[in-house]
Amino acid sequence: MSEFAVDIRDLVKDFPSPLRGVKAFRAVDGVSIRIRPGEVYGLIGPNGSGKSTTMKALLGLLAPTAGSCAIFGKDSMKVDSRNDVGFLPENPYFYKHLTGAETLRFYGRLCNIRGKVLETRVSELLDLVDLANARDRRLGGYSKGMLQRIGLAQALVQEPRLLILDEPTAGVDPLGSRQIRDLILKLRDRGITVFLCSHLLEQVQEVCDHVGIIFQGRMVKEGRLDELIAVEDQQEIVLKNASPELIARIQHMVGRTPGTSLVRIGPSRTTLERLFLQETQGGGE
Amino acid sequence: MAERTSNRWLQPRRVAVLAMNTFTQLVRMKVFYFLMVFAFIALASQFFDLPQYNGPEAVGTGELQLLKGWCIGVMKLYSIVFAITATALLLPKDVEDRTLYTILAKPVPRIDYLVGKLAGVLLLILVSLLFMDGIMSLLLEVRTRHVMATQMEFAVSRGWSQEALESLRRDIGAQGLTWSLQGGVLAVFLQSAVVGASSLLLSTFSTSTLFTSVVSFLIYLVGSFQADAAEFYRATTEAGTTSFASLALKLLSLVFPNYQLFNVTDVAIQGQAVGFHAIGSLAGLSLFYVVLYTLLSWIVFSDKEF
Amino acid sequence: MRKSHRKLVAVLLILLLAGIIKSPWERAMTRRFMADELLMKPLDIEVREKIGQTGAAVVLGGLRPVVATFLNLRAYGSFEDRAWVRLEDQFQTLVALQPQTTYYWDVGAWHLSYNAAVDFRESETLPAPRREALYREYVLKGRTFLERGIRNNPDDWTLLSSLGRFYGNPDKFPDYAKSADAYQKAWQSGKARRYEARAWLYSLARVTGRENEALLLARKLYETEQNRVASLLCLLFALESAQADAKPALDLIHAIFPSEKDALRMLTTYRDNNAEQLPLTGVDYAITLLASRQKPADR
Repeated sequence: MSEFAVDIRDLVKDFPSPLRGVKAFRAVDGVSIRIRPGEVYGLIGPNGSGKSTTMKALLGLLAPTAGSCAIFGKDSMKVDSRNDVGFLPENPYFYKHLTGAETLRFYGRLCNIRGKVLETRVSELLDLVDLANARDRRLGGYSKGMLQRIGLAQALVQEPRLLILDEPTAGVDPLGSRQIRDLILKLRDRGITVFLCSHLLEQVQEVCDHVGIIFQGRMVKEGRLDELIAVEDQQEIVLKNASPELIARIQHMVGRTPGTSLVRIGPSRTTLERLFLQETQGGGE
Repeated sequence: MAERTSNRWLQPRRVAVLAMNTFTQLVRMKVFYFLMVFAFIALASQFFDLPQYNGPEAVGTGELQLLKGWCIGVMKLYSIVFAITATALLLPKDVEDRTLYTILAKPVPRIDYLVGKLAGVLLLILVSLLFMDGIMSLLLEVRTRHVMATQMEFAVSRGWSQEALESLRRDIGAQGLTWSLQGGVLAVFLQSAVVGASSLLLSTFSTSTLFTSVVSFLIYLVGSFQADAAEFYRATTEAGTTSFASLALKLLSLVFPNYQLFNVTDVAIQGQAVGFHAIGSLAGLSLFYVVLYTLLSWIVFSDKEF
Repeated sequence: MRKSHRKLVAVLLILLLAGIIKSPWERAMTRRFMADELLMKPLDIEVREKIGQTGAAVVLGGLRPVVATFLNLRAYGSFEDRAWVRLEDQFQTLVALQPQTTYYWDVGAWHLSYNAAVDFRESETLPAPRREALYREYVLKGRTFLERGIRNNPDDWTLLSSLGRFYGNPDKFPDYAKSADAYQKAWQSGKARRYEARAWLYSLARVTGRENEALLLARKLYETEQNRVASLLCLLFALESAQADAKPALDLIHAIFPSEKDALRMLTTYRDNNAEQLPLTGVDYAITLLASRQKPADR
């Protein structure tokens, strides 16, 4: 058994051009990602950077040009690898003609769950995603947030060990977003591995243990979130209710210490976005 | 932890789940309701008399043939149109809505997915045909009794012998509800199964419902006259057509199914007996085509990228 | 070659290979089905042109009955409009679509020989010679149409009976020999009513030179009690009376008819309503004889 929940090694994916003589487009260029069981991994990158392609290769929806993808040690191209995976695609619609409960039953039966076990599971999941009141409403009448939540529920129906989420909070209102993020944290606490990709950097920062930044098909930065967003030669001291005199004394002390300088005094700010911009545009503070 | 899924291909339960989901999807589509209403109206129109030129003594088996011909024609039209359009829209719709991703992200072999989709369409066609067959049988039974009563009354009034009356009863009965007619309805279903499978194959190549529908319909037309084409080829090789034309015609008859074989329905309408062997042969041929097209669909679909 | 193109080529090759396997199978099935008369004859090219490309495609798709039904409805419209040329065209197409639906042959022939022909003859706009010419033309069209129908459906006795009726109608350029022939074939199919046998006799009796044949047939039919209808009895009497060695009238009357009273009634009706122009040899004499023998109370 592999020690990794997700093991992507030197993944390359080329898409041939429809025009003769034009070189193939390389969507993913040597990407490697390893996620240990129980971790929450966030893959971030601009549009067209290769995030979705990487996820699809992991799910066997497309074949790598080179490299390999494995889920808990099983080759992604084999159906067996999907026993332990739940997937929520970006902007899913599902079958509009089914109700919430019917949708979960459908996916549950596909995973060979039946009878009382299935019914219990369906009720539990609907409670978990707070859709018990809408269980008998057709998905055609669901809001965006509700669709995301039912999507999450179907991804969880067979109690997978790995959850793959593509833009789980895209287009969802702040309240819905919060609910989804809380759910992800709850799942992490249960020991489920989560691999998500998102544009919404604040939200990634809140839930992920590990982050990978992908740009133009290449992984440009990867590691523990805490370490990534820490600036090496800088320390941060956050004070509460500090008086101007105290701040002045600190400034004075720093000024008298050789090799040390005061970088910034002011209100605390997020740093992930800055790091992201620095890596993708070569600038930024 | 959920029970470990068996990932063997063509697991019956899994295929059944996909088939029933497809069945439900199609039933709940508004277009299906319109089609059924159309079929019902078309069939029920037979409650109204066709133009009658002569008096009651002329009410005869011709009327029964017209009724059967019309009803079976409606059933055929419905089943072919539905087999093509329903199958053509399934895959593109699943891709567009990304429901395909969620299904294939589960441990579902791609062949199970294809077979399940096709099975769902065919199940719906079968149920619809049974429903329409029920209406037709009811109409036919009512009309046959009417024709029988009218004709027998006329014959008795003319002093026909018992033997002649029996002969008349047999003739009218042969034009009424018979097992051969049901065999004809089965032939309609078998044909729609082949058409649906060919549409499935095309939809694995194409992402456009419209393209798949149009080409499937063209294949159906070509398949319907390919026997004539083959005959033309045989006749013209004697007359000396170009080798290219002969080769083209020969290829046509090899690649396209011969849908004319399913026209045994026509003679069933005339009241002629269609034996078990004929229906059995058609069932065997249909199975061959359905399996062939499904396998080819899987070959294309198995490593299709999304 | 790109992967998608490779797949397409592979699929086509497999289809060709499968075609090589299935073609002999389909050909064998076609032969067996045609031998068992389970498949209708393919349409001829002329018809395809007539009903247009779309119609042909639909027809060839096996939807002949649906197209035919619609066309039949339109033909009824033509009948109501008395658009005979259009009607004829529509029925030609109908029988090409459904050659084994005898209804279309029968009704088509009836429209031509009766409705159209009479309509032309009674036209107020056409000159007299033209009216008669069209009348004749359409009567003959109807008969020809029916004869085609019989060639397509040789086992159908109803069409043969209709043809016999057409040829035997005194107002429609009768040919009693052909009428007798048609009725004979209808009767000999084994499925027709006894009426066809009698009709055969009635036509045969009107063919000059075949009176003996008619007499033999009449005697044979007389043996079956259900055939002893008034017309047959009277005709038998007339045929017997026409013989060179005929028995006396009264003997014939007693042998043929149930009673003298019935004989008088039947013969009188036979003579007075003889639109079909059946033989009348000895009938007048018999009526006079029987009338004279009637008791005063019976007169």
